[in-house]
Amino acid sequence: MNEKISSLFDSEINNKDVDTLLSKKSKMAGVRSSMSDYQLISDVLKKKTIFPKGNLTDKIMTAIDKEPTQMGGFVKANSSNTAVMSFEILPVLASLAVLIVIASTAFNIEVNSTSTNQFLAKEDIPQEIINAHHAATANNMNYFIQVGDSAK
Amino acid sequence: MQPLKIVSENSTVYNSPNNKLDNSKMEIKPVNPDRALDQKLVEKAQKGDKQAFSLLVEKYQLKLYRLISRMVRDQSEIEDIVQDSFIKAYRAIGNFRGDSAFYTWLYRIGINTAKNHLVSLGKRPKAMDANEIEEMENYESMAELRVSETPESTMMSNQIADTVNGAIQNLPDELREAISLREIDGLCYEEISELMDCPIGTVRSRIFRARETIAEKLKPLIETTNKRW
Repeated sequence: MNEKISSLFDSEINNKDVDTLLSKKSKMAGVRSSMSDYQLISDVLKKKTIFPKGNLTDKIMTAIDKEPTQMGGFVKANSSNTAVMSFEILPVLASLAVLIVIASTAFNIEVNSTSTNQFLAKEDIPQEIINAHHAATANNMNYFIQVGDSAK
Repeated sequence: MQPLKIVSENSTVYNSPNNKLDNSKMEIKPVNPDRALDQKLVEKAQKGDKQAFSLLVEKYQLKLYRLISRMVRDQSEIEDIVQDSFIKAYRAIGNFRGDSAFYTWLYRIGINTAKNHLVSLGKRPKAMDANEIEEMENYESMAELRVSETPESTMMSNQIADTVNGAIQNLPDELREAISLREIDGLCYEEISELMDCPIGTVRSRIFRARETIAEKLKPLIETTNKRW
């Protein structure tokens, strides 16, 4: 296993071995400790300044362990996901559009029942047609006479 | 055992009878950071795998520490900034798209965290243009470091350096050659296998055995150092 850690440190490890290392959660402290030793050796050989690291990784990971884990993973806002998102939104948008049409229709019916629209409609009809309509319609008196006549 | 001859800061030649390192064959290529591995670890961290993120922390915390030490002198402040930077990176890892290398993204978080820290202390962070930020991101090759050192930490650093150098001198030739080609010359396993004329698996094994041998010598010193530091 330590040979895999050495390869991991050099980024010369294959995906399968990374999965193997990560699957052994109980041994992760050992993995990190070995990587830390390798880093120290590397720094000395490269003549870099050695820093007091102590248990900084442990402190960082303790703080990160307090962070919530999203079991479903984080939302990744890449282009492919954006495309998927738009397909997911389409049915919602369609439903919203239907609701708007229904609401608008209902609103128009209500508006048509107002006197303003009646008045406008009356103005739109030519006067001669209105006169003809009145002439052809029985007034109250004529109605009763007609009823009376038909009763005979 | 042959002496180790340093011919330049980044290249080493060995006077070994089995030495395959003649100058005509030697073509030193710096190893580029393996973005593929980082990307794999990032993807796992994005799915909630904290162990994968812990490997990124282990891999980059010291580099981030060095970066921050160029802006802040106090050791405990540097540690706080490094810690905050990784927490911010973890929170934002879902937004990391892989357009740049993970370490570039992390270093920018680190620089911004350090700047905010300085502002919160009433100090004016130095305004940096794009070139300076890039220079800081590639600071690895720079020798200038400003972190405050105590006599005790300097002494321990020297002890660690002496132990590592002593251990490497005592390694068998093939192990010393493999680890040095990797660490000092920065060659990848494939290049080392060509130079040493052996399979990549053998290179992998030699580098690992060299590290383990040196680490074994360092162990008592590291335990003492961690207690004191």
